[in-house]
Amino acid sequence: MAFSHVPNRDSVNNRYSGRPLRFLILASFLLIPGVVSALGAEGNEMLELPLEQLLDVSVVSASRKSQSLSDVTSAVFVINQEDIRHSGATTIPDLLRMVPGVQVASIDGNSWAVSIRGFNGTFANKLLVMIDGRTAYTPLYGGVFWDVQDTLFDNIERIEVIRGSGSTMWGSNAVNGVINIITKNSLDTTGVLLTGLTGSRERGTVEARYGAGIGDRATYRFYLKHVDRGDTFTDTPGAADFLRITRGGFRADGSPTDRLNLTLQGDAYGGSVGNSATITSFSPPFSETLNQPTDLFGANILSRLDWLQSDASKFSLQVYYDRTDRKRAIITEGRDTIDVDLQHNLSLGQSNELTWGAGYRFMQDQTSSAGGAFVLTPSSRSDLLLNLFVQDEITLLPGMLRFIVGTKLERNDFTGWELQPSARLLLTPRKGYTAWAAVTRSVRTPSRSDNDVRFNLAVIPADPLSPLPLPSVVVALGNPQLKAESLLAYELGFRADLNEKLSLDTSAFFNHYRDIIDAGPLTPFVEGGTQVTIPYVFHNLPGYDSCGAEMSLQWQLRDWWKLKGGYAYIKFLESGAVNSLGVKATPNHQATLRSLFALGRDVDLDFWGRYVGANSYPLLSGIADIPAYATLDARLAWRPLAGVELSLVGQNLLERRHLETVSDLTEARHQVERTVYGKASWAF
Amino acid sequence: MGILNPIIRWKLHLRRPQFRHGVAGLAALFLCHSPLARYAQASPSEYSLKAAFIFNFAKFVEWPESAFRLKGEFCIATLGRTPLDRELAALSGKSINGRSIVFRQLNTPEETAQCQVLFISRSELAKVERVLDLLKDLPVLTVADREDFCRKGGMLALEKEETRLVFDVNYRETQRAKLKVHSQLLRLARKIYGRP
Repeated sequence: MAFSHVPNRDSVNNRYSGRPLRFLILASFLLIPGVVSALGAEGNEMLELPLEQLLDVSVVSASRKSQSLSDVTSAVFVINQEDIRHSGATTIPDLLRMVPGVQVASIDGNSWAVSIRGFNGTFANKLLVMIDGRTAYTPLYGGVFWDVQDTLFDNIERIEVIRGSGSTMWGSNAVNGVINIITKNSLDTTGVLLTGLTGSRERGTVEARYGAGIGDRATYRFYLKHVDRGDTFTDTPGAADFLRITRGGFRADGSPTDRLNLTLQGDAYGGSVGNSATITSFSPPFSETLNQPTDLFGANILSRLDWLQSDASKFSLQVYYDRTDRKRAIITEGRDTIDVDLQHNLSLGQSNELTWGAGYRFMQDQTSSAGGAFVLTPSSRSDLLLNLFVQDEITLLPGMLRFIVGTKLERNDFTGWELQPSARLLLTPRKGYTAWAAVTRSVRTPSRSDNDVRFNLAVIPADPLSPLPLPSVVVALGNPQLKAESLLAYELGFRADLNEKLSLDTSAFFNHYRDIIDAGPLTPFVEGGTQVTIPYVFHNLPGYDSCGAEMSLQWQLRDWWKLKGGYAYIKFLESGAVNSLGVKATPNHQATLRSLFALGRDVDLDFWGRYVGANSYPLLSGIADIPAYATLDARLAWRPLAGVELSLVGQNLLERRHLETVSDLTEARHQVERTVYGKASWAF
Repeated sequence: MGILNPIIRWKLHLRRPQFRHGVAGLAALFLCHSPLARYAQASPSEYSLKAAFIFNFAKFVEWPESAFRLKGEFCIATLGRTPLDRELAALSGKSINGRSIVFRQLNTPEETAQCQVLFISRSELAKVERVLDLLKDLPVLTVADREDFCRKGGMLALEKEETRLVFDVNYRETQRAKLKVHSQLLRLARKIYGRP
């Protein structure tokens, strides 16, 4: 299994050393990459080699860093195409439920609380999500709008989930983990694909894709997807949570020479989702839950160049532009992002592999709020993010022990310079067995809201008997003096292919957080002679700790039967209110078990059981207790003809409906219901 | 195919001055002014290595006599365009068991039955089931460079592991197609599906 983006392994062993003359010619042509292809295939000396020796020949390619899972020094889970196909999931957050250590809870039909190793909630903010290297993290509140993160599921090559800090590599905000969604090279998606899906809540999803080649060195694809999903169950009349989004995009990949890969891709989407919001008011009943559909638009374009300068030196340059718009009565946000990222990987001698990089990101937003419920000051702001990164992988004992040390130095407009170093040790005592240990420091910089917000949380009616008969307003206030949150993480892991059929992956961590940002009450004051303001100001909390462990297992019992399981445990070590942010929407225990049956070549029968332990969610009105639940999905698929697949999926089959979490934005509570859908796909 | 060869089009694109002076120029600076230059060595291209593997596979497999429609001709074909085409075309004229290699580029799955070795490009793998259905039990050695090819019913899958190439064999499928696979090939395979 390949694992990309971790720039510390693609060692170059020149067992097959180049002839000096050929090397010279090549090296001189490298400056003008386009000419290299002129050097055809004349004289392939390897044809004379016996098979045994061919197995020893090393080649290098310009494709982005790819490394085998047994070489990764962090807790990684890869959702591959098999997992995606057999899961029956129709959204990315639902796919993430198979990863132990990731908390996923449905808030309503189009929003999810997703986090890794705790600190979950509506505004979960310690997780970085990227799609093909483009960040999906919004600086507005430091989280991810999951409703718009989507693509054709068949376009996804894999989703890499890294639990634990990835800051040295990916920068601030990858505090508790990183999710990389990687789409397929267009070389793998030629031809036509048509799919249709409809069911009890899924009103209809249609997808179309076309891909083709341009000569023998470039390919492209276009896709279109329309999703129409209905409301979920709620007690609050009129609280809609539908989703209707249409999106389309393209990707083109080419390698004009064996040493150069180019990718150009873009997507655009538009649509609307149902949302409700609980808005405060100065007249009875002082708060009201209103239906506020959100209009969405987004577009991005990204280009990437991977250039293998020599066997020992590789460059990767990526540039993208991203635009997002969310128009909702409570807050409207438009945002432009321009990002440039350069990475260089080079082998220095036999035992050092150095990677360094530099990045530049410019962001600009425009916000407004109808009725002034959620105000950001200034309403429009530009921010600049610069970073430098260096990492060295040192082989201490060849094939046995490696030490990886590196740091990221980042400059942001909120807290200035931040340093995020890490040190990792990788031990591979024998093939198939890996043990690793890591110490990392990472930070989360304050979000735009942490810094600049004014948000009315609640109105308490005036008490006519009090000496000051004014209504009180609880107001969340941003704080420009905030320090960045930081995490010092200690991690251990062990991976083993116990035999051809059974593999195991375990990890354990101890996390020490400092300066976690929370809103807390300060002294009330009279404002404008008309109200008493009770300010809840964002401030940094003292340190606190968590620990936990995760395990995943894959077992091929028979040729036709595979089991994939996972279990995660987490505990926050303080007690009382200080802990409440960490344990928010985070159960102590979570387990998942998938069973994949291949009934002949043309029929699949899959089951997916999940258990999520009881957890709590602190709200201004008190703590909401979320009961534990266990549920089961099932999928039956049949391929009657080559390229045609029909499937029937039932989700959350064990009970009529259950509550997964609540929201900070609305009092409406939505429950996940038992649903079924049917899907047909045709590839030709 | 257009008037301009697409590769030439790529080149023209890359030779635009601003491009060269930008990225390549910057990179050239690194090459010339750093001690890295002495580590720069050219390893063989992945495609020439793959072609060498395919040439070797052909030596370790025996075809039933009925497989050869044209006496003295050994056909290696590709379905879907890939840079490997050029490397395989260069095998033309070499011989396998006294038969001279002929290289063909195929455009449709229907043509595949006529060759002895068929390499299916990554771009055609979405349709792989259809190709394999058409071939059924015909004695055609199917090869691709994706790891899941054998699981899908292909015979030989080449895959990159770290910087080397390894291969898997689907023994069951070769048996079905009445191809005799030499034990040495099986010994060197990373994984064998339907082990004898």
